[in-house]
Amino acid sequence: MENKITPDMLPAFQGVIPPILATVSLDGMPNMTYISHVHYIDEEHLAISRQFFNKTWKNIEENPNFTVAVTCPQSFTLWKINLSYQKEAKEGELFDEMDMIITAIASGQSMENTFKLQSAVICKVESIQTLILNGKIN
Amino acid sequence: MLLSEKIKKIPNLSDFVFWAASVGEKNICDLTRVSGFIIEEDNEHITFFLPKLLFSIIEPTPGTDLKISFVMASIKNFESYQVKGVYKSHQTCTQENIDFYRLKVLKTIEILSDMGLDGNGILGFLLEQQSVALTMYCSVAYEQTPKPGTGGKLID
Amino acid sequence: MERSIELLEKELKEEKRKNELFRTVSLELGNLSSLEVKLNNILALLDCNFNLKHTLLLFPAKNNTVLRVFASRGFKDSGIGVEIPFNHGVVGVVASKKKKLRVSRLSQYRRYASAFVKKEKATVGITKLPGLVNAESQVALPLIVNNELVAVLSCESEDIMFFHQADEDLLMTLSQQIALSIQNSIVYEQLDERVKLRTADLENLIKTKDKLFSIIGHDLRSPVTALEGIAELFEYYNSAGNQDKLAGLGPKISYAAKNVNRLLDNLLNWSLSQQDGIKCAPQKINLTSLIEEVHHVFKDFIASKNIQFVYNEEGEATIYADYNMIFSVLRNVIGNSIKFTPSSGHIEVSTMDIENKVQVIIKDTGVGISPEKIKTLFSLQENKSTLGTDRERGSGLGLVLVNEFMILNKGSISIDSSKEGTSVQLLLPKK
Repeated sequence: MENKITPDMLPAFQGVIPPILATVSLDGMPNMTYISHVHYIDEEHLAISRQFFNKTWKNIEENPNFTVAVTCPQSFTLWKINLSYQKEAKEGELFDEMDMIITAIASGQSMENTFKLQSAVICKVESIQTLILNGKIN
Repeated sequence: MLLSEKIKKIPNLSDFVFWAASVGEKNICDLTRVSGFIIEEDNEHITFFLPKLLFSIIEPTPGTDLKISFVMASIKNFESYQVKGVYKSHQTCTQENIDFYRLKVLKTIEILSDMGLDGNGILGFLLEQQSVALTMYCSVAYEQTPKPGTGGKLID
Repeated sequence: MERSIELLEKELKEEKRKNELFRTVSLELGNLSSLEVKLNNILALLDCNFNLKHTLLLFPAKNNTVLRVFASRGFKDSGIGVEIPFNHGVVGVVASKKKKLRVSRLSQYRRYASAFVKKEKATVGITKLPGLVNAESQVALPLIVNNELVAVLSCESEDIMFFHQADEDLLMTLSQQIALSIQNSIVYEQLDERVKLRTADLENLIKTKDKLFSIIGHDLRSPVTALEGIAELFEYYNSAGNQDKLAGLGPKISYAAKNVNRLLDNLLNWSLSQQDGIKCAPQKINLTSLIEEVHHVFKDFIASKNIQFVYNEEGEATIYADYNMIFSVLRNVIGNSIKFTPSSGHIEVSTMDIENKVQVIIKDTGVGISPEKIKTLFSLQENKSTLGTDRERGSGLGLVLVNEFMILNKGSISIDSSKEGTSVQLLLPKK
């Protein structure tokens, strides 16, 4: 299993196919939620935009290890990336970059107050598993 | 728990994609796409379908409490719902099951293609055989559409 | 090994293509042209070379608070002039942050907003930019020179996967050149505009100067002619040894010279005040004093032709007009009457109140003006001077200026004429 993001994975972080985020509560119940996109920081770190999901956030507080599944729209490869929570950013360059996309979309659809970035959740890549490779089950 | 009418009456299920998750080692989620689902007659169980190779990803480990989550999300407008519960059983899909979900998957592929994506590339693997029908008992269902206050239970 | 060579060949081909693209685009961007042409050329370039069919160029305006559409391509409605605030939508955010942005799945967000989100009042009412109804992806790039935002380039597509990172990078590389090219066109247009304004100013100044010279030259002609006449008389009496007559000429010379001097002073002072163009400065004027002053200017001329000059005043005879202009009008009209009235003729000046105006009539028993000539009197191009009854010379400008001055003072002039004489009617406002 890999633990670094490779260049061929980068199109998966461009927001074309929405990723899914899965967390686990302390009592072992899985929780899934769709997110608009996962933001690439570097080969060992990703960021997730925190906007709505209260249950997800509660789970992460209890259990900082979680999973995100991303699909490359060009190669149709689906990766399952195991992440661990590092920290949250409510300002700074990363926050601004993520906020740009959300503000652009939200203001364009007149939903600035509802579709707002609360923070950028910075995560470390622990491991990557290829579930679907070039459109075929791996 | 009886499933909410809201889930039972979702129109245009072809607009939706589906995921299922269980919990594996070190309390980390295992998850996969699934091909489709039906609500059982008792309104308390759902059965979802997926290729056998993908079933092995979320196959509950005997001796664990077999908790499972199932999510459906619209590719057209982010409308989404989550059903949580426990694994009950699984079996090989019948031809009826295959015919049922195959139609839906093909329709979803068409919708993705209309959006300019290669639908077959993204979802075509869901039609691989052999496939498995997994039945779960539904403990609770939630609305998950991204918006303030989302995550509320769906109770009629 | 073969595969590596194949890959390398592919990469080389791609690099060559990019280089050629850069060269073509750079050549075009280097051309100097008006802003409108430049912007449309840029969008056409992007269409032909990058297949970007639906594009907008927006400029910051209103102190960098809004973006305004200056050029568009590939939309049903061009949307030129439409404005959106900074930080609104993709282009607004790009303008605000001066960073590029790509978004996709726009239809999903539109449907989501439509189905699940209440429209927020503050943003409802913002004019929509031209755009594709079924846009799925959009890229916006800031065009920056010296850290200043020159414009924002926006491209849309109905294809969710239209824009790739490589395309974006290529466009970003070109964006600096595009920005510079646009800025050059803006500066070129501004300079061009300034040159045009300056040229117009200079042309006006020249026209004004020419007019002033004409007025000075024209109006001085009569009193200088009078002085010339007196000088000829002096020569005659001197050669005849007629000391008595010679002595009598002294005061006349003095008077004529003072007249010229005074007129010259008036005209020069007035011309100084008209440096920025002929301006009308109306004031209350007693017509009687003004007519008397004009009579004084031509006193000797009138006497030399033995013309009877009569002034009839009826009513208040007070007008509201520019003093120097009306002085010039009366000098010219009365001067012409004297010029075209034969010896022992008759000139009558009368004033009369007509409602809120004063009518001044200058009637003479002169040789008259033909109807064809009357038509050309007020036209600079067609008007040519006619010699007076005693072969007095003119410049043909007098009545052109008279007409202009009357118009500037909200008055009017009309002329009736026959072989028995000419009547000039002036109407001037009382206030």
